Amino acid sequence: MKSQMKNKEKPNIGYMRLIIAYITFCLVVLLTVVILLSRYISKNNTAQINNILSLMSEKVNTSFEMMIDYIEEAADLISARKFFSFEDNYEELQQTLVNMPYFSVGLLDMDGNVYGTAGERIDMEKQNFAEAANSTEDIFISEPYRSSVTGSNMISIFAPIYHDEERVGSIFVTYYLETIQNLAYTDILSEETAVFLMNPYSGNFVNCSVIDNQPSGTWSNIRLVKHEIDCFQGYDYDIWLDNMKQNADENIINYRQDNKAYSQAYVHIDGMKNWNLVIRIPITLLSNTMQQYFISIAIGAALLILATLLLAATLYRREHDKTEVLQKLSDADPLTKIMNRRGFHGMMKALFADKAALGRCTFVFLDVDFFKHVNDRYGHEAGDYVLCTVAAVLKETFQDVGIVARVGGDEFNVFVQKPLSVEDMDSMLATVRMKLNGLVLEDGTPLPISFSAGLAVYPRDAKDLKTLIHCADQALYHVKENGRKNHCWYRDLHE
Amino acid sequence: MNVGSIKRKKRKYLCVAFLLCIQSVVSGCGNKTPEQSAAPAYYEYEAVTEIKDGQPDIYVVLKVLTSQYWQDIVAGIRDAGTEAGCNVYVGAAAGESDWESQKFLLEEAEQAGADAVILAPGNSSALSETVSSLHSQGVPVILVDTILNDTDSFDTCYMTDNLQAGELAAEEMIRLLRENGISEDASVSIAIQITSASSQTVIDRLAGFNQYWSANAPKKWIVLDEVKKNDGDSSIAQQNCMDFLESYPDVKGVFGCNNSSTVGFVNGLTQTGRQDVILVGFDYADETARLVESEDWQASVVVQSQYYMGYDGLMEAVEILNGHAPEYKFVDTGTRVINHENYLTYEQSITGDGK
Repeated sequence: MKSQMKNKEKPNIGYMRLIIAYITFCLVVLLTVVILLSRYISKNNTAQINNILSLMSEKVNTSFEMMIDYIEEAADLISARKFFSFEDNYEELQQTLVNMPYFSVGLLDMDGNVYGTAGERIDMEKQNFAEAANSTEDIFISEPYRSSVTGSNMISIFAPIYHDEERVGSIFVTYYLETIQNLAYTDILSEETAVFLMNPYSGNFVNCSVIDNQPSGTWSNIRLVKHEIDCFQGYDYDIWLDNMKQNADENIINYRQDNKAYSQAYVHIDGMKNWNLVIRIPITLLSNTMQQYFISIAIGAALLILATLLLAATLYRREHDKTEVLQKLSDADPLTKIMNRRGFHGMMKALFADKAALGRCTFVFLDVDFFKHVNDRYGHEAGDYVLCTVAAVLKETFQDVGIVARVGGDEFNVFVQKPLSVEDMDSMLATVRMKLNGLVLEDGTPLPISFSAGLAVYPRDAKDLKTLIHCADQALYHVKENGRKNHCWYRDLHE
Repeated sequence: MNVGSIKRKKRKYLCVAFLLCIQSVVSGCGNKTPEQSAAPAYYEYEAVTEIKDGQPDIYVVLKVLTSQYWQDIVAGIRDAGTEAGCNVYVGAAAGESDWESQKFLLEEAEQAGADAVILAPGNSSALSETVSSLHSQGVPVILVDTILNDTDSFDTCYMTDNLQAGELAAEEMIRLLRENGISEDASVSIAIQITSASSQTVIDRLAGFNQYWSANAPKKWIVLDEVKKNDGDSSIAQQNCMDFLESYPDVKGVFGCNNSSTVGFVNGLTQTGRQDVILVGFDYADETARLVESEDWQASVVVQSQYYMGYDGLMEAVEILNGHAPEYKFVDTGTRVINHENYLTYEQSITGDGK
C-alpha cells in the first residue's frame, strides 16, 4: 500500500521542487542583501565614527584652549597692574572662584613660594611644579597628580605673570580630572565616550572618567594591555603611538579589545609636554542603531518569504483537494465505489514502471457467473446489488494485500502485491465464495451467485503487465469453458 | 561592645570558620554556598591598647594581619593609641581584597558605637557606601594604605604615593646603571614583573617607573614591552626572571614592583649568578636584604613608611575627635630607597618597632 501512496504523491514532486527553488532563491537574495548591507553598515559606521571623533577632538581642543585662554587672560590682567603684590592678587583671585569650572587658583613667585593653601604648597613642592612652570615662557600643564587637598586626581595649568615686563612668577588653576572628561561630553554619547590622557613615550595613560570599571584618575600602562589589542582595517598600534609622538595628522585607530570594537583618536595638548588627550568610542555604538534597521529588514524579509510560502501552501492545498476529488471521481466506479478500469490500469502502469520494486505478485481476473441471467430474471436493481456485494466482499477480503477494481460490467480485477502462496490465495477465494453464498434480495428471494476466476503470477507466468493480464484471462477462459464456479491458475493450464 | 563580648564573638567566629573549613573539604571548595559567603572568616576585633573607661573607642579595620607590613601598621596604631589614651580595637579581613568581611566589621564598629574608625579598604569603591554612612553620622573615618576613589566621605588618607615610589625606583635604577659604568650608547633593557594587572598599587609603581624612565633615561636604555606576572607566587616570579635573562641577552636591570616580584628576581639572579644585572625592587624581605647587604651584587629596594600610616592615622583621628579639622585629604607617608650605602642605618631603625 505504501507504494500505492508513493505513486499517488509522485505528481507533487514537481511542486515541491518549485517550492525549494523558491526558498533557495529567496535565501540567496536575502543573504546577498545581508552581506551587502553589513558591508555598507560597517563601512559607513567606521566613517561616521571617525567623523564623530574628529568633531569631538575639535570640541575638546577648543574647550582646552578656552581653559588656557582664561588663565592667560588672568595672567595678562595681573601683569598689567601698576602696583603688584602677590598677597593682594591672591586675595582677589579667591573672589573669582565662585561658579568657575576650576577647583582652585593661586600664584607662584620666582623663588618657588606658593600663594595658595597648605595642601597646594605641599603638592607644588612634591611635584616640582614651581621649577617647571617658572622655567617656561609659555603655558605649562602638569601631569595628573593626587591632590593633598582633595585626595582626588587633578591637573594644574600655569601661565607666566610679569611686572614691568619682568617675569615675577606664575598663576595657576587646578582642575579635577573629570573636568577633562566633561569637555568631550555629548548628550548622545555620554555613557560610551571614554577620555584618557596618554603619554606615548612612557606608555602611561590615565582615565579621566570611570572607564572599564576603573575609576577616574586610574593610571595604567600600555604594556599591560597591548597584547589584548587587535587592530583592524590596516591600523597598527605602534605606528599610531609614533604618530602621537610626532603629532601627525593620522590620529585615528580602530581596534578590538575584549571582543569590543573601538575607534579612538588623540588630540595634542599645547603646554602638556608629551601628553595627549585620547577619545575612545565603541564602533558598535552606531552599529547598534544601524543594527536595529538591519534586524527590521531581515525580519520583514523573513516574514515576506513565510507569507509567500503560506499563501503557496494554501493554494496548493486547495488545488490538491480539488485534484484529489476529481481524481477520485475519475478513478472510482460510481456504482461499487471501488476503483474503475481507468484508475486501476493507471496504477498498474505506474507499479510496473518500476519493476525492480515489485516482488512476486498475483493477478486475479474475476467474472460473475451468468450475470446477464440475474439482470434478466431479477431486474437491474438486483444486478446492481450483486455487483456491489461482490465488490464489497472482494474489497473486504483483499484490501490488506492488494488492489480491487471493477474493470467491466461483471468483471473484477484483483492485484495482490504481497507474495502469497497458492494455498493462501485459494483460501481467500474460498472465503469470497463462502461470503457470497446464500445471498438474498430484500424480499427474501434467494439469489444464487457464483464467480469464475483466472490467476497469473508475476514474474513466474509473465514478465510484463499486458502478458500477465492475458495469462489471467486465459485461465479465466479455461474455468468458463469447464463449468464455471471455480478458479484456475495459469500455470495449471500447461501441466 | 566590651572586650569580653569581643572575645566570646571571636570564639564563635573561629567555630564558624572551623565548620566552614570542614564543609569545604567535604563539599569541595568550588561549591560556595550562600551560607558560606554570608559568614566569611576574618579576624575579629581585638584590643591592642589597655582598655579604660572614658577613653575614646577607635576601631581599626585592616586588609589582613599576616604580613610584617600590616604588623608594622598595627604597631604604629598601638603606639599612637597608647600615647593618646585611646581604646583601640583592631580587626581585619582574611584576604587583601575581602571587602565583604571589612563591611561586616565596619557595621559592627558602628553598632558598638565607635568614636572613630581607621580603615585600609580592600576595594577602592565597594566600601564607599558603608564608609559614607558612618561618616554621615559624625564618625571620623581615616583611611590608611589605600584611598577610596568614588567618595570623599572620609576625613583623610595616609598612604604611599605609589606613582612617586615607582619614579624613585627608576631614578635609583638609572643611578646604579651609571655608577656601574654602563654607557649611554650601550643597549640596555630593563625587565619588569608585577603580581597581577588588577593591583592598582603595582600598576601605579609600574607607571611611575615608566614615567620617570621615559623622561630621564638615555634613549638606548629601554624598558621591555613584555611585563611578566606572577600572581604573588615566588616560584613563578623566579621562573619569570630566568625567562627574561634567557630571552633578552641585553637585560642589564630588573625591577620588581612588589615584594614577591622582587624576591623572584633575587632568587633568579642568585641561581644564575648574574651579578652583572642590577636589581631594584620593593620591600625589605630577608632574601632581598641579603643581596642589598652583599658587595657582590647591585641591589636597591624602595620601602614604605607603613608604621607612620598607622601612627599618624590614629593621631589624626584623635585630633578630629578633639575638634580639629584635618588640613589634608591625602597625605603621602613617603618612601625611601635602601641600598648598600644606607642599609645598616635602615636595619637599625626598623629593629623592634618597624618605624
